Amino acid sequence: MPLDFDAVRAKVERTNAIPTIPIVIKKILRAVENPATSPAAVSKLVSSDPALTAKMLKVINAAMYGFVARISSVNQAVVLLGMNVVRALLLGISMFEMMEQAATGLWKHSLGCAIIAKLLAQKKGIQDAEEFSVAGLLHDIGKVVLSVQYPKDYQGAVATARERGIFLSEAETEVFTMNHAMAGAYFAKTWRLPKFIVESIRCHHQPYLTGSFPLHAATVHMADVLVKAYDVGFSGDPFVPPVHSSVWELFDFNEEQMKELFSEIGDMIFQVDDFFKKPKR
Amino acid sequence: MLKVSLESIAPGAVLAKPIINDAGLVLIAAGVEVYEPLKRKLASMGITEVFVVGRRVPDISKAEFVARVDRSFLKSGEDPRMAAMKNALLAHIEEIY
Repeated sequence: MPLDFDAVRAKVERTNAIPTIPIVIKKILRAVENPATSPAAVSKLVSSDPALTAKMLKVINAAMYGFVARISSVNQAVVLLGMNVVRALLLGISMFEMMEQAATGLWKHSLGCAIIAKLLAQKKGIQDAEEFSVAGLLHDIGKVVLSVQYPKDYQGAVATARERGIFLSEAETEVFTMNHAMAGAYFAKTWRLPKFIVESIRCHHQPYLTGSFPLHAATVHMADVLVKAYDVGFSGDPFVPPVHSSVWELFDFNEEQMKELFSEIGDMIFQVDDFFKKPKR
Repeated sequence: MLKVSLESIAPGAVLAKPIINDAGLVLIAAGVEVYEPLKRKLASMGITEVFVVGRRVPDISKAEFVARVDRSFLKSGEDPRMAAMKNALLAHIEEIY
């Protein structure tokens, strides 16, 4: 018996009631929604939590700058990426933190997707491709939200996909009457994340659905397929989904170009594993 | 490309990425070979890790990697462009081991 759509939606949108969302995150999100809040004030708020600051800078440098420590302070991140993107990152990081170890596979998948999305955007001649990394990083946030709100049901959906050999989206829809893309979009909308993020989340399996951000949705769609093909992390999906025909028009790679692409991916992707290894000593 | 610690860098290893300072200025270009004097200079600049040309073999065996690819492409192999993607990946795997 599938869960009621409206009930699932309400629960996905009520994540601000989750007691485990750190208070500092709630404060930051509230502060950023107020247009009068200065970037300096946001930096100060984030910096008041050193663990969160360190984690955020680590994720930004890994996902956006190929693991080179280019951004070294919250202030710099806010200036470079804008408050709304920093806010989205903080929310994403704290959601993943809530799942702790259970989310490591999905974190790896997401980080891999972020790196590949940026690579693809650069191939399209986009210089400041940070937006694409952020979209890649957060595209599966719906899986995290569903797991946090319905831990048992979500594990059931992942098991069903594996046992019956179907795509995870199909198994999710059977249980929740919506898939993670839709759940993630409701979540992102409720938290008023930037529109390009909401659309990338909502349309990463059906990139033709977006009216406003076709390039973002298509890039994340392609990156998601490639990271699944290279088998980085664990997305919960047993299979590589096919790339939609509209996206092939945009990324018109032939076999030789795809081989070159995999070689570029291979050069970077092992660092995703290193990222999650506990530092020695 | 490999990220290695400055201590473990082999003599003659080639920088895959330039060394840049905080202002984004290139101090040492990519393509430069690293020997002892340069190593000392980098250390004096506080650099502990660099990117060098090279390739790392994945943690899993080649047979396991190929088996995983075969399994995960089960549902999309019929699509000619996805078949091309799979072939490209298999050719890449052939190259890295």
